[in-house]
Amino acid sequence: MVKLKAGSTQSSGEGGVKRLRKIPDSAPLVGVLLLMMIIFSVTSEYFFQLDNFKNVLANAAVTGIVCIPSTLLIISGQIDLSVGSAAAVSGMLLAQVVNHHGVPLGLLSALIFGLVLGCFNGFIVTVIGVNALITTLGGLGFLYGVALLIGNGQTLGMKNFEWLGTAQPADIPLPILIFAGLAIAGSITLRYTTFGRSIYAIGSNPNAARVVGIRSKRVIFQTFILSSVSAALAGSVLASQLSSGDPNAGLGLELQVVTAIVLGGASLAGGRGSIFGTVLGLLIVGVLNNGLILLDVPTFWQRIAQGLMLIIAVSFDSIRAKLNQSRS
Amino acid sequence: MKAFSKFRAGAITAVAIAALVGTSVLPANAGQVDFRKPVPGSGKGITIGFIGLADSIGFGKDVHDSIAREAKAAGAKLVFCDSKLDAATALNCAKTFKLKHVQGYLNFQPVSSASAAICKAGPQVPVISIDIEQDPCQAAFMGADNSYAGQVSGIALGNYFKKNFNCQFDSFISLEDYGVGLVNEARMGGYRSGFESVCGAGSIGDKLIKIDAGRLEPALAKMKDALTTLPNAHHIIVVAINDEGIQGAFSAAKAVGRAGDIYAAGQGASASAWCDIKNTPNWIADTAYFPERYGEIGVPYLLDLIKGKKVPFHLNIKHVAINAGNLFTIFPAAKSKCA
Repeated sequence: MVKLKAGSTQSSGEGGVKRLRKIPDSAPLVGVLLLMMIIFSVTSEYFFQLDNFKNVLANAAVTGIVCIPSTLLIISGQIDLSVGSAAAVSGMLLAQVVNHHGVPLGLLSALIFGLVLGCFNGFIVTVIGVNALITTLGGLGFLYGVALLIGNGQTLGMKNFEWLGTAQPADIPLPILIFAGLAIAGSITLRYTTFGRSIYAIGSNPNAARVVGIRSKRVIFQTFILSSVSAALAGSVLASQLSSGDPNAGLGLELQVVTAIVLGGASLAGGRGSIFGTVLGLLIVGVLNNGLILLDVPTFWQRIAQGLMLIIAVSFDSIRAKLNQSRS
Repeated sequence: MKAFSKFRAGAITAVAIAALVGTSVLPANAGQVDFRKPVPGSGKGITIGFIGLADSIGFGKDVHDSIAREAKAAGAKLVFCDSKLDAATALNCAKTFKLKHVQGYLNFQPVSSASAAICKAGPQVPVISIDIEQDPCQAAFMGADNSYAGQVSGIALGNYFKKNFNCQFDSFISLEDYGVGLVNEARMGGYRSGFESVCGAGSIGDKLIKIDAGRLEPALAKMKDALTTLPNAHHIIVVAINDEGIQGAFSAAKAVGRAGDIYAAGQGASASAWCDIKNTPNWIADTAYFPERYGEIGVPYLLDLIKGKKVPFHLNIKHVAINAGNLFTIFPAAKSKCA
């Protein structure tokens, strides 16, 4: 009887560990998101409204567009801090060219700028061998200067190009659809393509990835291009939403992007992360910001709450990962 | 502060005439209004919104506190949303106002060219813009008159130099902020036209040195360099787009032992500069913007608009030149702070 009891206890313990392992990594994030939504729904009469959800998603979409390729970059062990300034330059460029040469050329020039910037960053990191953090930190300052230069320190009004930022096909804001499309494409890429698996391999162990024949530099180069082009697209969407290019528009975007990705479970050391996690991280930040505004929480407390929430969420995720590790 | 203000033909003409005849009389300025407290209870049952510039900036926080205080005094419900100096955030604020059914709002978001998109996204209600044009939905514009504000201190500097040095000086250093474009031109140009209205047209001429240093740190660094290039100058005029620039300039001058060589005028006269204005002998003048009283214009006039009353389009602040002599009279709170 005693043996049977002990056995059953052990079996029940193993079952518990197995059940714990079966819980997806994203479950705590989903829980936090749901909890916040419940709290805000109860405390603010304005939160649980379709229009408000659209606002939350539309606001998150611009950051989200940059987040998707940035997630790939972070999983591969790299980082791009120039995305905010790149978005500002592309918005300014777009406004300048749209005003003089029309929308198609404006969009094309913004995207080509993203492409060139991605090639530049990729070249410096993979060919010259400069650390990505340093390269893109330099780009952050350099590009901000370029954004100011384009408009001589002024914002640039832009006419007749609102559709990219404000159109609502099927009553859904277009930026949300663009973001959703990119998120799906990013998720498929990471899960089902050689390129995606290479990204995980490079981030987990760059040397091993090279040994097994993965062309690491090429993959990283391509990921930098994706990152910069997405920043250019996000800058264009933002400029379209505001009907103007603003050299300060992308300030701090890089931090928002990194916050969402890390909150979503990606490791800055590389090798870990997912698009789903990033989307959850983005939504948590978006819902928190929205809820605090709806509740008229003073700005300074909003900042404190946002910082605390990030620390708590990441700590919780870290503790859970350690528990999983020790039980396995 | 980033602020946009229209150049008004009347003011420009007046400045030109004043410069030509060398008078020290301030140009007549249309659109200035007196501060007025809202009638208690006049906002009862009314919800008003306010898109703030940024609570993290002293000026923006002062404006916010003032509006909150006057809204409360009027009995109106205030919905505040901080733009954090970001047009995209302001756009979100406007959407939130729509959700919250505000009946009118004050808008202090910083990007004038994004105002059309923000107007469209927000509720279609009366809007008063603060310091920055918010076309096409603004029913009135309140705030700083940058050109006039520059002239106020420029004239005070001119009078000081006329009285003490017969308008003789070595250099006229202008600490500017090219990032704010029109505001910079208006404010810094105002200094020069004000000074020349006293000391004569063209009196600045090639003595003008423009430096892009609109904040404390760059002013501190660049003023040291500027003073190095003027080794034998003992009457250097320094004007800045804000008080931080002048604080940086005096710190730089002190660091190289030349605080007595510069004579300065600033813009803002915010609480953080009061004691420096009082205790720095060569801080000759400073233009007051009264951000702590913005609510005494914004709230009562917005309530008027919501009630369908007619309101003048221009609701400009009456700027005043502050110096060590009149500081405590105009800002009684400075007395306890700087005693």
